[in-house]
Amino acid sequence: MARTIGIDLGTTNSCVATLEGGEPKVIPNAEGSNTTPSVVAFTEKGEKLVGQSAKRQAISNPERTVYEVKRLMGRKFQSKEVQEFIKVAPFKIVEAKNGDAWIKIGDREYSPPEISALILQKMKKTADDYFGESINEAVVTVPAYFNDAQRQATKDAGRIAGLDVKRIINEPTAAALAYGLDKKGKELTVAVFDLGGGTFDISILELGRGVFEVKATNGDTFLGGGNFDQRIIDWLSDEFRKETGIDVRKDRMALQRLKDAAEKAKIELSSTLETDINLPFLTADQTGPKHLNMKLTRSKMESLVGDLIDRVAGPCETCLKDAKKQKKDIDEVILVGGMTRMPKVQEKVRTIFGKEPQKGVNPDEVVAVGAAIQGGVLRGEVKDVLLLDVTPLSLGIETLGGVFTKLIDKNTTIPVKKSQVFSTAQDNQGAVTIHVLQGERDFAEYNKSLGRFDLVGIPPAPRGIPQIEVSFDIDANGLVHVSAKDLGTGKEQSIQITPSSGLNETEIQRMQREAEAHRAEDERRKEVVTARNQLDGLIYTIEKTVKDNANKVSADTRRLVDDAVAEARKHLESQDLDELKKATEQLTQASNKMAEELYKTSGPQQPGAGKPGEPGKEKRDEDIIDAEYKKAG
Amino acid sequence: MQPAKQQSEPIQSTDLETQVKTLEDQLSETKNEYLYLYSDFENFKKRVIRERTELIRFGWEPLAQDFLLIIDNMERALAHMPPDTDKTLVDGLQMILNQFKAVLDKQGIRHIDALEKQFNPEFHEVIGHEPSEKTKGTILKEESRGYTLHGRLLRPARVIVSSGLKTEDHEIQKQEESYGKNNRH
Repeated sequence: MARTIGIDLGTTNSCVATLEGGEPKVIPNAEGSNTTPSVVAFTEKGEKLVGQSAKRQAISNPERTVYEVKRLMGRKFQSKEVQEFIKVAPFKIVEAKNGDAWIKIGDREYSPPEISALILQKMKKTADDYFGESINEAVVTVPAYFNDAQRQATKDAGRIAGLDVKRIINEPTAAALAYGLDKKGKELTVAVFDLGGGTFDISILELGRGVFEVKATNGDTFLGGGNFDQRIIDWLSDEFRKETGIDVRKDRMALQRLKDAAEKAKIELSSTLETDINLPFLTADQTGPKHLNMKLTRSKMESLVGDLIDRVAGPCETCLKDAKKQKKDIDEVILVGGMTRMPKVQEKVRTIFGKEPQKGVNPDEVVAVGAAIQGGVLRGEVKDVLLLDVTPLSLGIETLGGVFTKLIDKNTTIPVKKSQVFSTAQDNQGAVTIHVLQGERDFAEYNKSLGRFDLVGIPPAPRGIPQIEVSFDIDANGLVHVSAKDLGTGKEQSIQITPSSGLNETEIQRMQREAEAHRAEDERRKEVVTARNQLDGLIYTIEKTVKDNANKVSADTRRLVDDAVAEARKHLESQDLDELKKATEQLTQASNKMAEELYKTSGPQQPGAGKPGEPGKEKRDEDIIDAEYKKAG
Repeated sequence: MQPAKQQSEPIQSTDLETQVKTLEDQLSETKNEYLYLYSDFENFKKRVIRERTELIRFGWEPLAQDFLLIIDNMERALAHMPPDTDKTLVDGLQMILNQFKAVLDKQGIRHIDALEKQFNPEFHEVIGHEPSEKTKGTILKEESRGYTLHGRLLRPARVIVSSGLKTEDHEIQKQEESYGKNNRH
């Protein structure tokens, strides 16, 4: 089946995603990573390397390793941007006949689209491998400020890579799509804040009636995560020098370890307030090995990078001005790029735009996700996806001890059908009441009752023996059909619950909130009920065993067991979990003694004879839950 | 009467034919959509199974990487032992390290051979190069060990490679610095 992939062709990293059953899915590459470095290398042997492996050999092959080629896409050699990049790029940038900036590797000249095509090819291959089929259609993203030449260059790159580029879309637009802002059904002004590995972009979009319009963009082409890491590295090496007098910046391996540790610390400090940086045997001098052991707090790091964060304010304000907007006009703020995970950056964004930024979609993947959604829209997949509903709350029945046993979990896609086998709670129980409920709490009384019915005419049998299959069937219209069937006699009863008897949105939300709030309390109570049911079951089993084997048990043991059962009964109504558990334990000990005696005297019994309370068939134990007992009518 | 009848009948049948045609089209379209959705779902199931297997095999990668840092440091500690250190103590530490490695080995972690081998960017990462008599690209030094997990790269070996007999050291050094400065990946 034809698929369309969305590719975020980034300056430092690229990412590919697609829609899978209507849901965006980021595709990991062969190395297991969701993003691939946008680095291409040509080895002396004539091999082409793309991604992580190209990056790994960069130091020994700097002239033949191309990175950040996006900075050259569709640009003239003489342009300011290219001239600035030439100063720092270790590979050769030359002027092509048409005045464009090209890359010279050995004797060959490559246009930037050719290099980008190699990256796109790698992304295409990632998708091909994942689906086991060749994917040819793609949506590729570009920065909002790209002009026609740059867009055309990107499209060319796609064609060289063997991709049919269905559309080139703006990165901020893709991000807005990933957050579903186009579906809000009203006109919105959106700020997209993108702080990535090497560049910072801010864009103001206006969207309404399915049309996105970029009102203004701004940014800083040399500001990103790398600068932040460098600040931490500098701080660490300065502190280390103060302590030991050694400059680790001169030690290749030590510097490498510092870089790794700095990046790790930066990431950790997004979720913790303090991190330990431990680098034992970092280096050594005449006096012996030296360790680096430092604490970095979030606030210390924030002070180290404070001025870098402040640098985003200027472009944001200019962008607002260019878009002829004010802070209060911004309806939504979206975060893109790994650096936006940093709490201080988020705080800055909040101050600048006076709005809580949208989070939730991985900022490294949000652009690719949006491109994949656009691909789905173009293919008609998105609007044609079957609108399958889900159950907002769990559905189930009441079982022994007032416990609510769920059969269908919340958020299950309907139509759905599920059944489970239950049994009786007492000997010779002739009827069971099926009490259908909806909700998230562990106890029936706290959930909403949808209806109840009785299944009568169950033939007399010890408890746990009858098998009653309860089935829930929700059709595509949300109609719930509940039936109970005695598998022994084939007798069946059912009830249909219409959606009108269900809940409205506010009720659903209230119930979900309550379930969350009472979870611990409910769990504890459920443990007590489970323990009690267990003890009750054990008493029943033992009494039955004693009765069935009256002549095989010695009087002494009989007395011991009777006493133990009587003692256990005293605790049956207890609300204390430990007490119930202890009683169960003591009773088990007494019963073990009896069992020993039984096996000694009579040898193996008939299979299953000593195990009432469980159906003889090959049903799994966990499927057997005693149904609530209630005398019918 | 008769002409009217003749006229109305063909119209009706055309109407019905159109209706049948529309419905048939709709049916085949729906059937098609269903088939696609179903095959999509079947494939989805297979991928989910594959992904779950992968998750069990590779899901602990971050933890494994942290473990490797501890191994690195234990190896560093052993390498830094002064010659007069109690031998039994050194041996004991070596045993602990071996034990740790054996545990990781059981979980599918293997170290990557690097020394004296030809550089391979799939498994090795260059952190520097030096002129040497060895052929260009031969790994001269292993600054930190590389490892694979179930055959997939977990961490590349960080190596120093030979740049061949004679190179313009200065120029390369310069480029290296400039790359390092602007390497923001």
